[in-house]
Amino acid sequence: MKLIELHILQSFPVSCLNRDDVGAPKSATFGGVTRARISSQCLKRAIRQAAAELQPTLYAGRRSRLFTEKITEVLVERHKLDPKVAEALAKCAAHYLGKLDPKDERKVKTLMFLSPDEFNCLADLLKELSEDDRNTLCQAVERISPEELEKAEETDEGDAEETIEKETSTKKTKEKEKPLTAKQFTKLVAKVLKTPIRKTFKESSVKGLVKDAADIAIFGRMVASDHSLTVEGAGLFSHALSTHKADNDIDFFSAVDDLQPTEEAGAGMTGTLEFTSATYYRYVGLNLDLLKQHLAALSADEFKSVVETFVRASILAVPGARKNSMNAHTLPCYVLGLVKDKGQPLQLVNAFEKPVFSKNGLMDASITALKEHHEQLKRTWGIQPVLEVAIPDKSLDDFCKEIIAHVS
Amino acid sequence: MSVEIGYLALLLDAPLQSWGFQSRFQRRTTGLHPTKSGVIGLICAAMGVAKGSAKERELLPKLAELSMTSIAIPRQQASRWKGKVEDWPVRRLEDFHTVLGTRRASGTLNDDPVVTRRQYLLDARFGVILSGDRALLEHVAAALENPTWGVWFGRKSCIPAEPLFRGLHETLAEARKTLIGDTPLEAFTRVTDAPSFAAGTDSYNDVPVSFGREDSSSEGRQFALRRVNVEVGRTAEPGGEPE
Repeated sequence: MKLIELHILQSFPVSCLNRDDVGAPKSATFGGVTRARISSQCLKRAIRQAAAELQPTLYAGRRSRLFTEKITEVLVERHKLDPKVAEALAKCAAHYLGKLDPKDERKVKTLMFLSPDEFNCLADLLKELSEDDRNTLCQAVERISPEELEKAEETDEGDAEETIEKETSTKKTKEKEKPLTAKQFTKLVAKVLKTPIRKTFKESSVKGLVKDAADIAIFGRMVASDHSLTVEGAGLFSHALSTHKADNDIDFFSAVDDLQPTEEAGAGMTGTLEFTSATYYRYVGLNLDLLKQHLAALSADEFKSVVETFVRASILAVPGARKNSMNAHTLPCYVLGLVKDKGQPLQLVNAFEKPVFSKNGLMDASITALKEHHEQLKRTWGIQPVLEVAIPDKSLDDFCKEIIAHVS
Repeated sequence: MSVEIGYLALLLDAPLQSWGFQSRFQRRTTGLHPTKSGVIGLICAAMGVAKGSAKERELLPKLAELSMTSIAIPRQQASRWKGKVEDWPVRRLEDFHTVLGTRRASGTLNDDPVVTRRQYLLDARFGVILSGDRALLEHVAAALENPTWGVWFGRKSCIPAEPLFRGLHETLAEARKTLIGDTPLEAFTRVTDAPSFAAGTDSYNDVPVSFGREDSSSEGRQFALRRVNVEVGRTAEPGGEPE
């Protein structure tokens, strides 16, 4: 794979960027000692949000349960469908992808990660359905009640065929008004929509049309109800670990009651907060080959812009937790950027397996350890990156420029 | 008998690893050794084989047929007191993680975030030897050296900290030597595929039959039992003089 790797060293003073179930900063043991840790999930969310802010047109994927309305909108406005029909069709598509929520049928039960161009593809596909299929779906929506959806069980697709057959025979006996159970509804919808949805999304015809889903391409998407929509993310993110031994500390605080008479001693309230203070190593990788496959519709310039935005967001993003009380928003002190034509993704975290110990600040010692470890790995295994570039040797702009020069 | 046998050596080294063999729902546990499903899954990701694809159906039985040995290779430290070499213990970490928008067993929406607990192994390092059809292993080796999707140890955030591929060897002894040097194998805790049920000491449900169906990733996951022989490394100090 062609790969971009960022090896980032960053100090966060008093902070609790990612906490566990008791509100303490997360930690891990590495090299026999306790380290401060920020989970990959937490860092990914911060990077995803930062990227969407930097480049909203290309990073337009949204995690939402509310896409029924979006599809309806497109069907009515672009395809001039009757609003009632449009809503019914949208509901069926939504149910197929994420199961309608009985409490609020505009919503589905799970968060779906979709982009506006993908909404359009779904709408186009619904519009292209045959008159028969459309009628089947519209009738199905009329025959399903929220109560039935509430009763819904896990659908077992194993016996799907059988029940659908029964369904058609029911129709033949002209019991069209008979209410459907949620299971029957699910099967009916799947029978009509499975093939077109899978065709559109699987056979990458959709890739030629979707230009705004860079975040889905990088962070991936998992769709339980239909595998053809699942996207293997091109981004690779490690948990951030401190380069040194780091223990959590407890901040005891007292708050003053402003209105309390001066002669009365004592605080308005007291409490404790846990925090940590550490220098972290983190790894971000981007599989350029896979990204290219996912984003086939983009022009060369757009593709470069996606990559540059991701590199910037990965370097600049900081999780927002305790932003007001601890404001840990720092910038990295050192970023090693590598572009590799081939080879496996490789963290440089073993540079810190022996915890960094220094009386003159941890950053310089961490940078030295990182560089030495990288040189040693290159020597031993004959790893030859096509580009090595570092911040602060280069400004962020030049750093990005040099990396992008290798992206085609 | 015309099939040539090869021995593929892998080093699994990362600060966090996760080898689940009974993970369901909110509690995603890890075993203490790499699972066959995890290692074969890693190979499939390196080869870019999609879940439930025709390619998977073709490849998986062949990969599952490979015999696997995993050897726990401890990280070591020189003790500050007596210059003695000590192993760092492998620990389990339970990561706390919340997920929104889930469903209850009854099918109704859960308005509260669901807590999932995901376990990782810390300070773990393993040597793995896969043996079998050399022609197949050559494909696997090429994919591991230059993976299509990537390589990770049980979870996507568990990215290797050392090159994974340690050679495709002619003999078992050679493959072993690359991983553990001249230290006798008995010093390490290891899990080997047992040749027969009677020869094994435990069974793991970790031989992948299918990683999923093409149309649904949540269904069709199927595993078969693997009879293994678990041998605990002698506590005799590997490479150190007894006191």
